[in-house]
Amino acid sequence: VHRALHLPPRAGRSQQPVDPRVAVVASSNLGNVGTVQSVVRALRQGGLKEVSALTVPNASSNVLASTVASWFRFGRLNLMVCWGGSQVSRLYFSAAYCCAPGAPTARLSSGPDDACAQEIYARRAARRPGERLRAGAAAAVLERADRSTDAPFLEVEDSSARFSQTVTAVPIAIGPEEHVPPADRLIDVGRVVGDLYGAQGVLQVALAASFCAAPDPAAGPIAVICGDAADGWRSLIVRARVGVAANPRLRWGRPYDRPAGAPRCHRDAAPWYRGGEHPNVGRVQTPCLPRGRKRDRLVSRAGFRTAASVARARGVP
Amino acid sequence: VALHITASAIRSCFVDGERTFAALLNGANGASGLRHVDARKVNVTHGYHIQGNGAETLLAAGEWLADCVRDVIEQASLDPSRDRIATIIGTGLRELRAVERAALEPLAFEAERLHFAGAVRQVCPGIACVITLSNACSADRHALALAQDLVELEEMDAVVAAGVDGMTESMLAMIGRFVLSPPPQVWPFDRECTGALLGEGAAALVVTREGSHNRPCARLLGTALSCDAGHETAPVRDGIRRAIRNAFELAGRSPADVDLVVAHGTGTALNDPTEASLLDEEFGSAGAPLITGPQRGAGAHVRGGCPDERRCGPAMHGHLSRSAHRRTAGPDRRGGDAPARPGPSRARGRPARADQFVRIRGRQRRDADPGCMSDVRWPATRIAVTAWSLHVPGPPLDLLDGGVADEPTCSH
Repeated sequence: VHRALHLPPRAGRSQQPVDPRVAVVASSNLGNVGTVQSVVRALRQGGLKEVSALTVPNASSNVLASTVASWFRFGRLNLMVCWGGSQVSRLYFSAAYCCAPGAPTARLSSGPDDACAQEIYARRAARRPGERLRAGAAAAVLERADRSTDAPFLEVEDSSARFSQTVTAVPIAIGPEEHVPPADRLIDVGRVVGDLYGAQGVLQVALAASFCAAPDPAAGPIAVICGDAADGWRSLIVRARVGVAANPRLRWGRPYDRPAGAPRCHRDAAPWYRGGEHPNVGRVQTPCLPRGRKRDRLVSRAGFRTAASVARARGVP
Repeated sequence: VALHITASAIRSCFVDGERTFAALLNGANGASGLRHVDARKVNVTHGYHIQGNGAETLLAAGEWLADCVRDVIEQASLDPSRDRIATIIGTGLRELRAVERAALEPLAFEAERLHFAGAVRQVCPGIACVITLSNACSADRHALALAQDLVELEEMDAVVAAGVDGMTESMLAMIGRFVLSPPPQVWPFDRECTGALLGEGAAALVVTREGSHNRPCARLLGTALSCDAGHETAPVRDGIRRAIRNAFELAGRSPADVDLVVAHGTGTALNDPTEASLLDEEFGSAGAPLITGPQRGAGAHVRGGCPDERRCGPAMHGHLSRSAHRRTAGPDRRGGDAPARPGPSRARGRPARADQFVRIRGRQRRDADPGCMSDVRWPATRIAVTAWSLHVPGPPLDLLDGGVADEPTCSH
């Protein structure tokens, strides 16, 4: 999250007031199994006195999402999802329902590969032969596409199955080679990197976004698919902005290389917190929702709404 | 958009929904001696167990959940081949008990069982979507709020909002770590603040659009969620207040309209004074009766399954009014009439993350309005990815023509 917000590593905890516009959605399946098992082993070996008071709260599965929200003071919706291998749909699901007008969503996922996690992962029935769990994390900041000027955007392709017939060929496909549509280039992250399980979906979307933002962006949509036979398959399309020159700020880069004089405070580094200009986000715009009480009601809600969904609910084409 | 709750099912220490409701009216105590875990090691002696044959069942929470989901789908006459149905599950501890046991003994189970999707699909194979949220004590109300949104926005025809939790040794250890003397039951809003216990339970209900069912149980007026973003475990008043007020605003009602408040009431020194004083502030002299669920701690998720205010609203009057007002000014549970005082500060540390407030209000029965099923699509809104980063420890990655730096990171 620090990197995605362009903050220096280990930037300190925000002392600012809670920002009610930013939601956090985190996903991890095995993120706390090591803690859970260590507590049980400690109890067996030495009783309660061996259990650290600082450790036991981490046995709760939601510690990842709540910690990020507390650290960065993100006061909108806070969701911790633990749902197997189909994280791409969760990414989209959460984005669609958290991205109210003028509100980014920090989306992250994290997966460990400690011995406990490896042991539980080995029980995964739908695991591909030879694939191993690997530790990793990814984060993406999502917001309504009409607010950004050049950032790549997501489209859901098919939320319930594999790619539909509308996608017959893509320049780049990211996902298991058995399930991606025909592509000039295939990136099977599970084979190349390893399986990040709960973090795989967000990582794949972040990869796709990077390809879209490369100096020579992919000519056409990038297909992203993940999941497994047990949890189902979910897919997304990531597109670069048509007619927008590649933004050099969106290239592959190294971890934060803070230039002299650059701010350390993440609020200074991410002006959208203040509602001002941001090179890739643009000014916060007036919500494009229907007018009237319905709109006020939806806007006042702490998230969840999208303009298109609201319009559809109201019968507006 | 008017939404109905068309079915509900409960598995709790009082067995099913009817008996749970009756037990609440009678003021019954569902706590029993702690099973399956050495009480001396975790410093917790009691819990709210679902009755069983005495042996610990592997992946029991999934079975309770599956029972409830099966029940509500039958009650609501849902057909996955005709209706687009999602299930959203709120859970604090998932099936982590199986993970704990696997650390100590050889056990056979699949990793996919940890998040319940398999259990739900076993009883409802055609279900379109299963999502598991793990937001601690408030997980089930997150599930209910998202269910409301999915139906209201016509993304789904019906959503099963469910909550489930069992007990884990690690969470019991967390409770035991912070109490001096383990209580035999939970006394919510008691001046002693003796602490929380865990319970086992599952509940499910079906949220549909008005008119899709000819015998709805209740009407869902509004839900609201907030995030304190302050502390991982301690409650923050502003967050709770935001959720309460937002729920009233969305429901278009006022505190005076409320006949019953179902509170969190963990019995802890951090939660109860905060929650009680806020209820005092928000409800004022209206003094709506206040109850807590049949069991506290993680088992409190079972509350989501008893939404029929036509039954419980009037009946609860005078029977189960452990109101916040009494806690701060009335007699304590031992019959004294001592002046109010804040709870002792010794029992700190129990999570009290719930800062949500859900109002469910009964409605009159009305005739069915057939043919409301629509062609459901996912939202078509485009979502921009405006920043991202990756971190995969290990050797350099080369995923696409050397386009990846030695550590694949991109941020702006």
